[in-house]
Amino acid sequence: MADRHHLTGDLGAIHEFVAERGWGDGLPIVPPTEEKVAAMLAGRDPVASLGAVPPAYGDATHEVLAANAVMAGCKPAAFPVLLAAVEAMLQPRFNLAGVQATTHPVAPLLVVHGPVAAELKVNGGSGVLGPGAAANATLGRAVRLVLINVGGGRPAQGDLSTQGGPAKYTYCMTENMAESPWPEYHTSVGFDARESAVTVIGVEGPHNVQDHQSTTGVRFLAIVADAMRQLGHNSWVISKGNDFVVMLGPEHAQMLGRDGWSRDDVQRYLYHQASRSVADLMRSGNWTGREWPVWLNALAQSETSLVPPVRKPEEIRVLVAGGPGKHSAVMPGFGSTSAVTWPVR
Amino acid sequence: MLTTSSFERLARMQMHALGDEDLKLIVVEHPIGGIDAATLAARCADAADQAAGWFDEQHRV
Repeated sequence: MADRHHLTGDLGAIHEFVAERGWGDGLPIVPPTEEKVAAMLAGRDPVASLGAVPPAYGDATHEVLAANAVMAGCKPAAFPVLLAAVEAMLQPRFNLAGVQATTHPVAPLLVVHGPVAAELKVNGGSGVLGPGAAANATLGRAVRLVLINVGGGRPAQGDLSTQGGPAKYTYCMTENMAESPWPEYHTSVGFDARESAVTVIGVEGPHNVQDHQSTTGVRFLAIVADAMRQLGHNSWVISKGNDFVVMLGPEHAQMLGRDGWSRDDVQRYLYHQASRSVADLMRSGNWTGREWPVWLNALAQSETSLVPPVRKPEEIRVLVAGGPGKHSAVMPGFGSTSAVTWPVR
Repeated sequence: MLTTSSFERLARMQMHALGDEDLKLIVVEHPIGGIDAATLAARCADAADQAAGWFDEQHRV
């Protein structure tokens, strides 16, 4: 069982106690009382564990996860989503140890799919990435608290991100399916639309792409590709998992849909159009330290060879989210983590 | 294990978490990326000295 602490005093005393021990994200928490944790557990076995969370390898028991969900402000109905997110992050291909400890500002983006998103009122419309929607804010925060409190991912200790970032406070969304021209993302990786699932993707915070001019999808995507080609992102030089999120605002997505683009078409086009020459990449921030597969190093024999921003088109994860206004976003990846989609049970 | 000074705390966290606190840890000055060859050589020499020190300890009578 997790440790118990009996405190007296007001909320200020509780926040002081938590802060002194480095148990949070710097914001006030909801005290995880016995009653609140029990309500969050909803009868689950408190000592059942999902595994050890790196880099401190704390034990992610149901009870500990429930306490962190309470601290984050989650409602009990959201707990299954948190459990699915933690299970997903503990899959080897996600490389949570790397995501936690790196100097890069990578944060797990949590995308909630299927019926549970509507049940929890996860926002996929205006302001999808915040602020405002309680479900988005608290679920994303619960993920971060688990990474800090169970995994030891505290700045300068287990989380060596040079500058950190706002996405490390909370990073949770769903797609705007009312306005998307395509099926929900999780159906593209083998789930049925009626299934609830969560995808965790290790990426940077969003980089805005505005386009109020284009009337064709191809002109718009050329601008997106340009945003993806920034020389400083990690994926050029590391090849152990290269996700790149392209989050299309609904108006941009609908323009693409009208022009006959599928999600797959967008992925393949960007895979090629966002490429950069070897000559360019030789000016990048880690050319001599690059970790490339055999085929890329073979391409590098010629400075005019073009290198894609990811290793496979399907690593460009295309989502539709947001409200009115011609803005989309790209979220570059870390280069050493692969997205995992996991069922919510 | 080899680490740079800025990451020593992470290295020791890993050693503790994985039950390997007796692992020998070489700590060199941060950074080692982007430094000139002479500075890198000096840091390598420091790492070698630390490792040599352990062997001396082991074989001290």
